[in-house]
Amino acid sequence: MPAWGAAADGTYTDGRTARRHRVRATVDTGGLRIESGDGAVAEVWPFSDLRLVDEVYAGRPFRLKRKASDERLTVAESEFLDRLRPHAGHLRRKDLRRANVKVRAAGWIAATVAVLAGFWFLLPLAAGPIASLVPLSWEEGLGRTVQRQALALMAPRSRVCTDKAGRQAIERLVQRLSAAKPSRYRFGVTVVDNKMVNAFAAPGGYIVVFRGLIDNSAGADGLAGVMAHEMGHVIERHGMEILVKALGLSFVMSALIGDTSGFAGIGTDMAQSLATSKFTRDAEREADRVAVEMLNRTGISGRGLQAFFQTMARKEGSGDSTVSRYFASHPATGGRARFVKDHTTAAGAAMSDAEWQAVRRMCDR
Amino acid sequence: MQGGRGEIGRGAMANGSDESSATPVWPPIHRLTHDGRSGELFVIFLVNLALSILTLGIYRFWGRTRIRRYVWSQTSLLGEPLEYTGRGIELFLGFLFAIALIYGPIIGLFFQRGGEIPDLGLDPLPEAVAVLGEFFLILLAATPILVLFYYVALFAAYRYRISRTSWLGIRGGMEGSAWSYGVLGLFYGFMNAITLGWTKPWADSVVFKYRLSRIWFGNEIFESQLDATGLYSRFTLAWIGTAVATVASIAAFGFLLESNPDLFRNPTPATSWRLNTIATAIYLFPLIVYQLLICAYKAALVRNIAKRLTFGPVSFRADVTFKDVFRLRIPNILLMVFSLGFAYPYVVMRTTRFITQHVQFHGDIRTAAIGQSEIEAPRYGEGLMEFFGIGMI
Repeated sequence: MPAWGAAADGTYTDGRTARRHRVRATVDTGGLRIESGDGAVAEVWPFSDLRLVDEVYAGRPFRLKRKASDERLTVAESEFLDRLRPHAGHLRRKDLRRANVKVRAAGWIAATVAVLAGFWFLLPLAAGPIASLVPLSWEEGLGRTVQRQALALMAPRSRVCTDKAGRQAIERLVQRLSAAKPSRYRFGVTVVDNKMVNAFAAPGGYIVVFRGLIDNSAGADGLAGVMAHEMGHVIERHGMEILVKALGLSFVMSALIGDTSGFAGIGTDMAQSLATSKFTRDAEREADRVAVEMLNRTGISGRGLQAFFQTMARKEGSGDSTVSRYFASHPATGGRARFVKDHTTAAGAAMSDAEWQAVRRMCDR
Repeated sequence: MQGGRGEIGRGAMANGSDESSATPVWPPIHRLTHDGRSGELFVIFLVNLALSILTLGIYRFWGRTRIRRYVWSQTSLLGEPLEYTGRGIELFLGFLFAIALIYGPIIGLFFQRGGEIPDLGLDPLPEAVAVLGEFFLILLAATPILVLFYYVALFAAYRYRISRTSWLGIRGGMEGSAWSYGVLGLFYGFMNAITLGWTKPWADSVVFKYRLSRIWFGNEIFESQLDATGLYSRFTLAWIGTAVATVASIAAFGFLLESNPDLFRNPTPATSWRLNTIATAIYLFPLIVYQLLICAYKAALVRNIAKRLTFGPVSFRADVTFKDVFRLRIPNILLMVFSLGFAYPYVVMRTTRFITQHVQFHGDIRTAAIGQSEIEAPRYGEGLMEFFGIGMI
């Protein structure tokens, strides 16, 4: 419904000086006519050039400007905006006079909760596909950082065991296992002199085994099983998934807090989250499955891994603190030993007796 | 057409302030008025929150622009609201440039090394002492750069905001170089460090004066004759109070160490929790004392800034006392901490009302004589400030 002739009083400034002119604004055929009584101002702003300077709230004046100009018109009577809107529909966007604060607040609280919930559920689903897009060279670079940081965190004072015969034995074992399930990774194993029963895999194929695990691994077959399990985590990119999730969460948190400075420490944060957070139960099951598959194809018996799981479940039950670390991230259940038992088809040995002795002694000085 | 004589805006042209003066009062006193409502600002805050999360933080620049537009437009002088003309994209681009400046070298290394996060020397070393030593050295080397960047960022942020503020269609402007300001800040920061803070009142007044006397509104410039008059007595009080609190804290810790050796030698979860609580309290105590006492200094600084500032025939007053600053700052800090940030709109409102309540304009604001600004405005927003995480809006 056109409203020709509707008029209101206002204040006009021309953008050249701050001088205020009292004007009468009229809805005219060619646009908004702005005129002062003394004849100093005589303007017509085409309707399509009209812009609201800021959002209009109920009971307060509204301000118009002419597109790409410093001219301003302030009108106290906000009903005049209703007369203008039929001619300039685009003014609707900043017109919040009829918006109900409580309803809008409730709506946006709901929207925020929904967005957060969406992230909570979608992030784990998206982490896998995103992780698989990361190029190998990046993954290896990240892996080296993570391995260094995680070692500094878990075993800061432990020496790396470099005995030649032991390292060669482990290298041969890794090669046999990785040949059984070809992947893009070149695996490397670092043995550290620490009594904890522990092992972890950083992305890119960097596996760390603690001496305590070798001492408690129920023979070479058990060690082979644990290594195959860790290689399974690498092949299935479980570590990368955790990093992607941590990165996504830190993005969300920084959006919530409005703080960007946290990006600086992201490398360290990622290493810590990988070193301290657990893989999901599903990830453990998947790594077990890959491990058994590798052992079967290599012809190494799964009995060792089964025995290892059983020993650990028993030790964990008795509250042995040296094993608690490993199983904080690798929950031992009778189910896991049973799974290995049920699916093992091979019965060969992981390495010769001489090799196994070399591995056991590789941290001796 | 009638050039009506009715009131425009909210009591707009009263007090003989304008070309159509009625009853001259000398000197006319003007105040800012604020019509914002916490509820309206809260809705803007919520919209920003939801969209920021959805866009992984990128919307925040547009969100901040909306908040500023709201606060500015609800603040009026002579019944005429201020206007914020900045745009979200300007803040976003400024942020991207700042990222390139700060992270460019690191990101370059990252790609060059095929994804390995560059070792910035913060790797934990086996020996704790070596770690501390190395960390301290890095900190020592990085501090001047950080201080320089901080002041550059501060100046750039002020310049951007002032250039995007207009009133009656006339823009603000700021001249001078952010890097010169950065060097100035670095110099006085260094002085403060070697004198254990005793140059702070003097340094503050010089640094504020530098910034204030480069502000333009339209074609007219602000002048500041700021000095440290009256600042030293308040500062001395805060300094001595904080020093006493620090010594008391250390003594309390020493006493605790003497009387409960078991607390340290044989820590159990319960005692180490207690130890943590006590250590935090002892660490926080001097900081709290400082925050309380510095309110008096801040009040005096604000009073001085206003008193020594002129804009043509207009002079300024800010009648803030220790109590006013205390009542603003302490609840603001507590509100932000205990609401986990959700009281932000309310804190912004309190602060804006504080400013509008206390700042007075003395004298005739001759709007007709003020022409449009010709100061070159920065093209992009205050990106660097993002990394220092300060500034409320």
